[in-house]
Amino acid sequence: MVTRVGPGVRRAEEQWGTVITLDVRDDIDEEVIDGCFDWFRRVDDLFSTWRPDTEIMRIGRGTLLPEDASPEVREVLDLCEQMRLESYGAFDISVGANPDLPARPGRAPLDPSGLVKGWAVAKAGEMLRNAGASSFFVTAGGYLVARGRPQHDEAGGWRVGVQHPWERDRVAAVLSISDRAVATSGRYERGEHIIDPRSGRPAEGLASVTVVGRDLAVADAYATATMVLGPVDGMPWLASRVGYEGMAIGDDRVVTTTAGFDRYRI
Amino acid sequence: MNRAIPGVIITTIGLGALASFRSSSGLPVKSSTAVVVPRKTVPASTAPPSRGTAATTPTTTPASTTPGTTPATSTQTRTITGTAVDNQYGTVQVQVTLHGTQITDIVAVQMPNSHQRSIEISQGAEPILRQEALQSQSAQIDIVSGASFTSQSYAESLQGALDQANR
Repeated sequence: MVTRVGPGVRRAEEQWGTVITLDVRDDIDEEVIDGCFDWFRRVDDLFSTWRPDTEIMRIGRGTLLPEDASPEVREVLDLCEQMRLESYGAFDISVGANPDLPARPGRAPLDPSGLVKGWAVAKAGEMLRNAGASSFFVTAGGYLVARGRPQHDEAGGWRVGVQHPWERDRVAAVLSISDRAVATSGRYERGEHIIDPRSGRPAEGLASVTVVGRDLAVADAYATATMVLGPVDGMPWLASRVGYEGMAIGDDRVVTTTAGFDRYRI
Repeated sequence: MNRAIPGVIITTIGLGALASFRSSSGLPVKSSTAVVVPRKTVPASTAPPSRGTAATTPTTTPASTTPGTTPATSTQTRTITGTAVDNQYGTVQVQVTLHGTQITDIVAVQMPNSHQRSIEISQGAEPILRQEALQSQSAQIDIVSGASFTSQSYAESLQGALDQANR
């Protein structure tokens, strides 16, 4: 395990049904950390699909017009639409509202959770940078942004382990990450929870997809879309995305990576 | 449009043809920029890791396979050419070679070049993929990137252990 040296603060809190960890290696005011966790609570208030009163649920029910929603919600909806077009519909937050697909009880009509966690974690990273932090990471349920380097006198980036899908205490790859975002989408943790918006059926063939790039919201959406596109269509599509590299682990235990992914591997 | 690669044509080619094609130049015929490079000790033409009874019974064809085509067995090598799909980025067409259910080659037959972003894609990022077998490592790490763990599973997750150690 890594031992702490120098100043800094690390805090983990339960939110969004998962745990968010924030680790800053600079001297930083605790209020900035508090502000990040306040932000995560606001994101939950706006986007949770588990409560009927959030803006995203009201828009889904038709009781709130998107143009009357908060700027954050409009930003996320715009980004989701951009991702839907880029992925030829493999990423689509409105699958729950599609009348052509079999109804699934409990599914929200609008569910941007395939992007919003990454987006929110990225924003927290920006808050830390604006407060003067230069060496930190923020992670929530597999989505992370890592800035600078873990020790100020060390050349290597943050060592990020890609979770092994079937061995909980092992990793399938180790990456060196600095000033980049990493998103992993997978089927192994919460069951088959990634639905192909085009068929309404669970995505099949890939156990997990990890995407590295600058913007965590985009990396998050790309990982989800690649899972949905599956083993044949997914990785060629991901390889054609400029500035993003990825690694897919198939149900057949075959690992496929885009050509530029190796530069992040240790 | 429903899929990135909607309809397909299936051609069965001999294994020998694939082998000689590989040894001659190492590059696919259709494109000089897209190539699958096998990593480590997994040759491109190696049969996929056993998945149930796949070795003796017909495997399921990929999702994009046209219904009614001959089911493939794991000993067959197939190239699947997607139909050319027009989208806002231009025309995309890919050709996938499978040995059984394992992708051994992916070639972009057509990539968009109609506007600036598409040109970037065409010139810099055609599908170039590598394949290897899954390995498990136990390494010193700072952060774990895993599929969203629930609050309950967090405590027994690698990230939970790291947070505990760094408290």
